[in-house]
Amino acid sequence: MSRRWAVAAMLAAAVAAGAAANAVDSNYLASGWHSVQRGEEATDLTVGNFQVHVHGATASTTLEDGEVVTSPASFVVVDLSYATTDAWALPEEVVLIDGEGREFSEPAGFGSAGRVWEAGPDIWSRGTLLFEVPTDTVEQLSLEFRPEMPDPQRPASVLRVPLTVTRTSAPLTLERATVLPEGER
Amino acid sequence: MTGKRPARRGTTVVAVIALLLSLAGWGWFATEAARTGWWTFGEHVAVGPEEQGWASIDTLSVRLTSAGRAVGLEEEPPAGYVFLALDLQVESTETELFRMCDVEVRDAQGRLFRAGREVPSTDPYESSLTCGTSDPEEDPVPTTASMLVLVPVDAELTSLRVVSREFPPARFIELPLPS
Repeated sequence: MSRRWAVAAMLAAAVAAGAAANAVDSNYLASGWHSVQRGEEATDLTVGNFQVHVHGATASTTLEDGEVVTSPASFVVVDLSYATTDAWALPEEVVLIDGEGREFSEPAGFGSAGRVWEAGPDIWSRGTLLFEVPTDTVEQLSLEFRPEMPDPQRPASVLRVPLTVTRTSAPLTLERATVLPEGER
Repeated sequence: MTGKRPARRGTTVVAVIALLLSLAGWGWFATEAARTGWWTFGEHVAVGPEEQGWASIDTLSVRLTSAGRAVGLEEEPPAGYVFLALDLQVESTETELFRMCDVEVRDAQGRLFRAGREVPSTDPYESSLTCGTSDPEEDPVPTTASMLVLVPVDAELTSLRVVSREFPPARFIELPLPS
């Protein structure tokens, strides 16, 4: 009798190991960002090996980029600071996501001051990121900070922060990232 | 009946061991790519200084001649930071490919501060270390290199690392910093 139980237990163990491997494979090993952390503006947040502090965002139909350019939609400039926890690194991507889940990434053809920059360990730098979105989505935007490329062998996390967007009629300006004095954000 | 029990128990034990071994074997096989990648692209084997402070990997030898707070620069670091100046001696036998290596300073918390990031671009300081050349006659690898590193003023710096994708897997040069 005990032998039957032992055989049954081994079979169960083999099936459970297979099921666990399958669950790990479908939940974590497929490429993609799997875990979404949520945070708020004006607080220090950590995702992966990055520390992030979102100051806010401004929207306008015009942008000062060497000359004043006008968008048929809206330009959004996000003001944020970030550092890493371990070594100098460039975040993989920062995008805006609207209420319907649509993603807006950095538009091409503008100056380099509106793009992600490299940050150092506990060396905070502050700069701006440029986006262009349909005007009716401006009120429902979230910033999604993706610290690393999704590795096929392990899960990746992203940080999502709902944005408070201030509208202005003046042209938006971009600021090249600069290292902040210690303790500042 | 009672006489057969030890034999049955033995069979069961053998079967359980076989099951565990086969699961472990499959696990080892399934994680091969992850383990290889972790080893190849990580920094796991530090090569330290030997005679007279020289540390060598492959075609590169490096020696730290001085490390200290940079003076006389026109630009001041942000409040709470200092510019650390590093002076290195370099010997390279790589004469076919132009190569750059990264130099990093490690602190007691394990943070790595990379040379040449957010520092003034001014002579004689460079942002990366030249560690190979394709034209040894006209453009040899400089035998000395000076670099600046932005570090927090309170960081407890322990060592200097020279890293390169061209080094053999997992290896990097690590030189202790004078305290």
